[in-house]
Amino acid sequence: MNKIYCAAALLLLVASGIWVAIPAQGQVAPQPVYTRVIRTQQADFSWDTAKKGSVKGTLKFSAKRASAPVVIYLKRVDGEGKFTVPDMLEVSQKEARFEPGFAVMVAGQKAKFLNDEKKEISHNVYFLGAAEVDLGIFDQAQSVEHQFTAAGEVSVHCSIHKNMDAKYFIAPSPAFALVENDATSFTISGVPEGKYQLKTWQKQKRFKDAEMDVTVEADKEASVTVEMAR
Amino acid sequence: MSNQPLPITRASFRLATVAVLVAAMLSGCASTPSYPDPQPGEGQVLVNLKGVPRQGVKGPKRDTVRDDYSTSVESIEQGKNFERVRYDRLPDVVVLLETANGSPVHPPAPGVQATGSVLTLGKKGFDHVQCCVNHGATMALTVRNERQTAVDLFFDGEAGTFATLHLEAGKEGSIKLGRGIHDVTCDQEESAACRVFVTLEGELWCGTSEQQAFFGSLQPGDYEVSVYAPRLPVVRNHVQVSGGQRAQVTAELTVNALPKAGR
Repeated sequence: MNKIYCAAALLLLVASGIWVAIPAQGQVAPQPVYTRVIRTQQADFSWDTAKKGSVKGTLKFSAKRASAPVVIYLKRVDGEGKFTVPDMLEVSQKEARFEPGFAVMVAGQKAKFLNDEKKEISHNVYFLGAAEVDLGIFDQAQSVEHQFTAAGEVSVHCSIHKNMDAKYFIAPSPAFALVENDATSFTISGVPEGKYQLKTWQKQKRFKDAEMDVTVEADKEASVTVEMAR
Repeated sequence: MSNQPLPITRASFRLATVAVLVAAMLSGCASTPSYPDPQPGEGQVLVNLKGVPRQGVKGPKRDTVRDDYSTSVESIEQGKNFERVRYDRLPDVVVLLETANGSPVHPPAPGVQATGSVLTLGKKGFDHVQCCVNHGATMALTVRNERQTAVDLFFDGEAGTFATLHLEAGKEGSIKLGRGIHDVTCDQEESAACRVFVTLEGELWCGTSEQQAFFGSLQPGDYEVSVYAPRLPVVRNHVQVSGGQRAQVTAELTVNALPKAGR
């Protein structure tokens, strides 16, 4: 009877992906199909309930910088966890121009592309880069939505009109700051405690992108200096 | 039979001139590039470029326009913003030929200058959106600044490299670039941008989607062809080259093959 219970327990454990070595009593233990649960990089925590801190920093440029935006973002070492994605970004296409032509979004966020031309003009939207997808052709007053899942740079184009382009940066989480014009300081607040890599992305690349380790502690402010050199 | 030459009248001279002109025009119009036959033991690759418009795209709607004295029909899409992509004339298409095992397509010969390696920055930006620096002894890109002000150029390499080039007004300069793709931007003008392709082992060709990319004198073996057209996904093909043969590949330059989503 005990053997039956043991076998049933073993089956359950193997089926659930967790292997437990059973002391062999005259029997050779069968080789497991897999020996551990393969987890994705998604950390199992919620931003809503996590203890939070912040990152305050200064950008130091080795030469005159462009006024184009620099995005400073945090990438959590053990996965990004569960966070509330920002509201859908609405993109106009009036006069064959994507508006906004540049945006920083968050992985999981949706964008709605609306053909709001005043005349009967069709548009197409497709992406290259971190997302490579064709959203189809849509006529005046029609719209199409897309959810960006992967982080990275996405170039947005229309296959009909050759000057209709936009560039979006998809940050891995809401932990990012946008530094524009002459600004050199930034604060990223509401960051769950943990270990992160701080990275930069420039709309117009004028310096090597920076990368550094940052530890965020609950109710504390981590102070960093980000060197942007050539 | 008289040995006297035929008299050349004014009419016959005109006729002959017109005939020569027509023949020249016809030969010019109908000219298809001719390539040398492959030698025994050597192969060739011919890449047929084909720009294909997005499926389902109709021509712009037309509207009747009336003024005091006339009526005309014209497109409702007017202005620079509404310029349409001409898939049959895509400019600055770059074709890269590489061996499948990474060995050089042609070993760089000493003294051979890099080809296609001059980029000009004029009033309206760079003269190319994509250009290439082929294998050769120099591996350098020459940039001419035709503007009346000094400019600073930035070279952002896909391999993480980063380089700058300062050019005084009306001057030219040279920069050595490593293999790979480099995005070139200008500090003084956001819209000026160019992508430079540099190869050491492979061979590059740059032209328009109306043309064919020809690669000759190739050792038999397996090759990879990558076609980069501005604003379009990269097209990659595997080609097997045999001695004395010309392998042909057609690269469709289109967004039609992208995964569909939305709605």
